Amino acid sequence: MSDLPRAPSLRVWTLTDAQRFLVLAVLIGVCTGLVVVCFHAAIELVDYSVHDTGTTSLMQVLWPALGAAAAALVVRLVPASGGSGIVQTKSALYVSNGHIPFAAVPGKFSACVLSIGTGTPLGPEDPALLMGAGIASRLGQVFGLTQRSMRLIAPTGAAAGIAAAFNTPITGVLFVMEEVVAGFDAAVMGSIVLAAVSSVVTSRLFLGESPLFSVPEVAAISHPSELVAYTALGVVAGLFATAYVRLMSLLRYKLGAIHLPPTVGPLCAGLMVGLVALAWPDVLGTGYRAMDAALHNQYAWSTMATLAIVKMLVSGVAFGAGTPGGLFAPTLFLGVMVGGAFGGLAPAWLPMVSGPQSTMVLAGMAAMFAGVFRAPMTAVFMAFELSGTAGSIVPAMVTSTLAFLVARQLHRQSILDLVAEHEGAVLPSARLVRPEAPLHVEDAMAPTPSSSVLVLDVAWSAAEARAMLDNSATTRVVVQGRSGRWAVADVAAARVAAEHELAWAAVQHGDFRTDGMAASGFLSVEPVYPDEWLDVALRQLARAPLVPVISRLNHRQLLGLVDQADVRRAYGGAAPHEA
Amino acid sequence: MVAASIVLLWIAASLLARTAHHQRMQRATREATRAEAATAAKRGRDAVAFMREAVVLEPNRPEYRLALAKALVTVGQPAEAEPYVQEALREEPVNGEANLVLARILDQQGNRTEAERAFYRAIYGRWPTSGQSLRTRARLELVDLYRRSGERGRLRAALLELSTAFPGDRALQLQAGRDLLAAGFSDDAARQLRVVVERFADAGDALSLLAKAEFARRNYVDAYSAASRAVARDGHDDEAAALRGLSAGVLGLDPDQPRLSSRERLTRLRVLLSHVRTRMGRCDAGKTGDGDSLLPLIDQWLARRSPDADLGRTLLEGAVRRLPPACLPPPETDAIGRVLADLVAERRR
Repeated sequence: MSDLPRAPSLRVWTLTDAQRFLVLAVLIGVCTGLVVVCFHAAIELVDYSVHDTGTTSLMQVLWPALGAAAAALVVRLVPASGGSGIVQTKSALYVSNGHIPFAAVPGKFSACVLSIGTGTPLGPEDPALLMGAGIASRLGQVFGLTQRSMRLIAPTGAAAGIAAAFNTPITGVLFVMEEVVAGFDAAVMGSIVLAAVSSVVTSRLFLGESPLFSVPEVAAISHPSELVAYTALGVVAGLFATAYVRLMSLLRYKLGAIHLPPTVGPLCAGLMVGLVALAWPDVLGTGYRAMDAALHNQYAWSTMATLAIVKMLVSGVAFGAGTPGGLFAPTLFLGVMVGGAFGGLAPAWLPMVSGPQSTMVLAGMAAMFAGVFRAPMTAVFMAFELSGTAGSIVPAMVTSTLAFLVARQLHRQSILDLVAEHEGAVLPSARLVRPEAPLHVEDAMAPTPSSSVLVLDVAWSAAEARAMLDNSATTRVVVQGRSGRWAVADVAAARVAAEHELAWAAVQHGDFRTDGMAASGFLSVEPVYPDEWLDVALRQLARAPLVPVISRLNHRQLLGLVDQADVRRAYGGAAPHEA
Repeated sequence: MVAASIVLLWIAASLLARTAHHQRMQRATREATRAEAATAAKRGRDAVAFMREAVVLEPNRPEYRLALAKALVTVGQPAEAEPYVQEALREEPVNGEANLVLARILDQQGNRTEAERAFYRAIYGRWPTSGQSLRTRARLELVDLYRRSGERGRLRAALLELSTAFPGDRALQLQAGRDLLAAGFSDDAARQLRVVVERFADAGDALSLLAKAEFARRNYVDAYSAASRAVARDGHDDEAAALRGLSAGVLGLDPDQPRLSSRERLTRLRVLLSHVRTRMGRCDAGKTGDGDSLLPLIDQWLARRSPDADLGRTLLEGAVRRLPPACLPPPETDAIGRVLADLVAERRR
């Protein structure tokens, strides 16, 4: 029965793994969108409750501490809910075949609601990313995906989470491609886009279409001289991003070195945050309100500079002490304040700074994001999606690129690499490529003509071929038949073929069958191109002693040859005869 | 199981989002109400703080953004107010009130050209039925902008437009007349005020203003008539009474009044010249070179009771021109001063 062919109508309804993956991506998006809506609303409700009860100074100090301690307790109970979220997602992709414990989702949810809702100066975006990845992992298991699809499911959920958290689908997709997948993989792109879009659509049904904060008028660059101001801002933001990453690193190691009971560290950090917030309440929580205020010119430049420094310290202490929460919002906060302070201060010594403050603030935000997370493309599109105008793109491009370059020059690791390293993981990253890059065929290729290999021309007659072979001191020959097939042989086999008209005709035609009837001794070989990985040539060398390298534009043009000795030489080893 | 999870999540998301939204709205409304109260109590800073909170809570409500912008303009922070207005305008570019607030901001920032445009957008923008008084306000503020910038041509046009925009609004019509008069467009003011007097049974102080306008036009007969009607209407209108007396005085002294006999004209010239001669003596105006030559002629004309009215008039004009303005009686309160001023003005024309 099972051997009978399946009816065509049924075949239509049977989805391939790839198709199932895409359908699942939509499902992941919807589920993640719903969870993120709950997450946002829960944080907001806790925040309101805290505001209603914590009107005295004592309560204002105590609430962040109590919330952080309670969140740490949740992490103690559900260890999978600890950490930044991005590291777990990358681990799922590269290490654990897409598996993220589902307990991480409710654990992260409750821990972050408790901490962020009570005023911990961290953000909800990276936790949303982990929740999305956790949901995706669970759904992938339920739907019985293959191992390869399972590996790709975590980034899909992560994109859905980040897109819903920011209400910006492009940012979600790009961040996951840039940071989590560490490259643009066409296989995963479609599912990530589907998941991000469906999660944003779902969350918008409940939370509305507004982005995180409303951005007032953004002016495009009207004069080339304005680029000077944005260049300066990019450099400043790059320096500030480096300082932030280094401070984070320092605090995380220093505070991690103090061995306290798991809830005591966050409790102490929370007390410190509460005390600082008595003087600067704007640094509490996600900081979206303060960012909105900065975008609307409500602060003097000195206030914004102070807020940036204070936020940097309190978020560093909170994160270093292990309080659950994300780094996106503090980074954006710093960027907004740095951009605003620069925009307020710059006109005094840079007369070309004339546009609205909001443009500078957005450009600063993008720059800081690019400098801290080393994701410049995401930063540019984030500025675009948050402002809703293309005018923000060019300033953000200038500042992001410069901040990225400055920060990378001054500190090799991004903040996520640091966090991963602190958590004991070394995960792949687009930025941390090894200096020894994979080799290409052109790196090993020996150019033709070669002293050891004779290239036979099929236009020769058998007698001409014989004469050439007799006069040649080479040991091997390579030939391309008229059929386009390539073959290699040793000189003896070539001589035998040249002595028989029939065999030579077979060689000329390219009939390199291995049954010995015609061109016996000729091994058919697949040519390679110079830009291909050397691994492709190595696979061919398992079947043939050498591999022809041809031009992509003209398949009859032989550019060179690769043999095992060439490969060894390219990898830095000595060829056997040299050794 | 997956479907059930989605349904459960959907219900949870609906409940949580709705509760959060309800809380947010409640708090925003509370803050907006507090802001209104603070505004009414002239506590501008408090109003700004409350409205800021309301905007943060409900960023999608343009009316809150606009209210915050208005509060910021009131406390003199136009730069900070502008983005909020622009956001409200992004939602509804023809919002009359938002354009009015923007115009005030631009005016405070000294950007007169853009402010003028914004005022016009406010005037012709969309207003709620209850906001028509503000549309009028936009016109009045535009008039004020022109007045302050000294653009007389545009001021006149704006005032005339204002006078025709709301024909049924007595207060506004009267305001237009008053503003035209104050800006020195006495002809337009008289026309406008006459319309008000004719159109409305209770024309308020239109008669008194009309008297002033006619007086300013040197139309003393109509000024007298309007002032008399104003006094008849309101016996306590001292200004109108004074104007009536002044107009009567001018009418009794002006040698250029139509249908005067030669004798009467000569008598009036004699009275005026005697007055001027006395003033010349007091102010030592005759000691100047020109005055020395003029004084004997005047004395001769007066002593001989010359019938030559033209000579008398020429001497009068010459004497008035030689007198410093401080020596002449004030034309605003004194009939002789007014007649003499008119004589000189007529001559210049």
